Amino acid sequence: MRYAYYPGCSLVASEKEYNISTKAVLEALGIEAPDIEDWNCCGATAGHAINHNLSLALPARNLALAEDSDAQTIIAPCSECFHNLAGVNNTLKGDEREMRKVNTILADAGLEYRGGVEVRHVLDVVAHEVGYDYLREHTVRDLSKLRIAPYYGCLVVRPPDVANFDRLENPQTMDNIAKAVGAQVVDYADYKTACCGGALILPKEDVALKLIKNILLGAKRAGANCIIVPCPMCHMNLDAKQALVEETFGVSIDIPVLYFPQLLGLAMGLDPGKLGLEKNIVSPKRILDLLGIEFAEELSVPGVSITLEEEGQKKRLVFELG
Amino acid sequence: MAMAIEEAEAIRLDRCDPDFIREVEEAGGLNVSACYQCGTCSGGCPTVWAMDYTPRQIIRMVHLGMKDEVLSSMSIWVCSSCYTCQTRCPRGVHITDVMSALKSIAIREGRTPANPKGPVFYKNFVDIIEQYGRMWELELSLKFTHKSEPEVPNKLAMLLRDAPLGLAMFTKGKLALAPHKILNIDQIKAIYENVRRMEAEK
Repeated sequence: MRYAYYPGCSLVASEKEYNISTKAVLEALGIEAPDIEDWNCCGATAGHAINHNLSLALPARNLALAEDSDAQTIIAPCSECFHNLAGVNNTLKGDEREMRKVNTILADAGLEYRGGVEVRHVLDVVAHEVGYDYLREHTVRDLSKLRIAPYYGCLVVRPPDVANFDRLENPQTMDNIAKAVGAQVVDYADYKTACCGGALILPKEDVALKLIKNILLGAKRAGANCIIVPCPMCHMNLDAKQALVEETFGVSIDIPVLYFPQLLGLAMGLDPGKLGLEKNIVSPKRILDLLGIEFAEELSVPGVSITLEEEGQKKRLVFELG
Repeated sequence: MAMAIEEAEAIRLDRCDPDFIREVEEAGGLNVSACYQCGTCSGGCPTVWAMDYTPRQIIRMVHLGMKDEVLSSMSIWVCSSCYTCQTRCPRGVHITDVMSALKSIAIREGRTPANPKGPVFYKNFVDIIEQYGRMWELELSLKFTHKSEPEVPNKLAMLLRDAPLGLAMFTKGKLALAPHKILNIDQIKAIYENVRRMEAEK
């Protein structure tokens, strides 16, 4: 199988730890997947909200680039990108008129898509191409103290004509991966596919915050000490916005949110630094301590020394110039 | 009696637009007419509590051509595109795509939205892609805050509130201070031009 890799915009900016851990794990699993050269944004939810043809053409350029590079399968780690690339791919392959229309739009860009690639989410590739047995056999760390809430979100399971690699209402792939590497999985069926609000966190923040709160408190009530996710938008909301949820609703949550490749990498014995764990906003230190894995919360800005001081419940960042 | 009915929420068919349903389907909302009003969509919707009309009602209003009411509703801006409704619909109505189509028609026609932040967000998003070919989160969040909070004290309050997270992201190397422009940005410009041309030819 000749793979191509589509990181998407979040993975090279605010959610770098997903890119770092996914690449590290794919390499450790022996899967070669070079980036699609000069890839562009898939349009996310905004493309659909602005113009239907734009929402077809932006992903189609990436499909055409991958096809020209002779790839057979695109691996997309972001659920939104996966949804857009796979959805447009289905539409174009299934409807000649749409294919002609999109190729008319792409023609002035000197590109043409002929329907020659398929698109898969990295969760699908790990679960079904690598397989749980392989992961079990290659687990070298004891993760039995982790009680995991697997949060799938929306677009790895819905809509089923685009995302069709897991069970719709009670997906199992991340559950099985976590179990295969020896972690405990809590009963989280209530929330594993509940929506986190996605991009609504900007245009309709009050609504998104309530959804995020329910998902986080659900994990806490289920007894989880760690949440795993397969999507940068979900991660942004559950990890980076966790403090805002605590402040807004006066609740205490304090649960680290890991990308599933970060968990997998730990299981396979990779160094935390190779998995971008220092980049998570809610510090994963507590669970790494639990697992007996050494971990330094490294913060670095050139010319500035930054230290984290802890005083009981309070945490303070100290900046020193020079 | 007739008076009472008129004063109640009567649907004025003379003010409805019979072409609206086609317009929605052309904008990507497939199979709207297949809906038989079971309400499964509203039952599973995670944001229905924040809507003025339920998804089922929105679909029925599209059937009836109640364009003004639909396009000025809050519901279309509260939809998070989670696809629960579309997934569960027993009739194959692309409800989530209908919601996106409605957003795009409202934005195209410059309607005054129930949630003004919606169009600001989506428009800025695609404008940034046209400029660089990729998202630049810093520009998106700053522009969004600037344009969606007209009052200066609110703008500052938002920036201050989000500053600690911004700082944390910066120190963790996750805040890009400059955009990443793709090499063949001309191709993106050509795509946008052609999409605009097709829209104009309609």
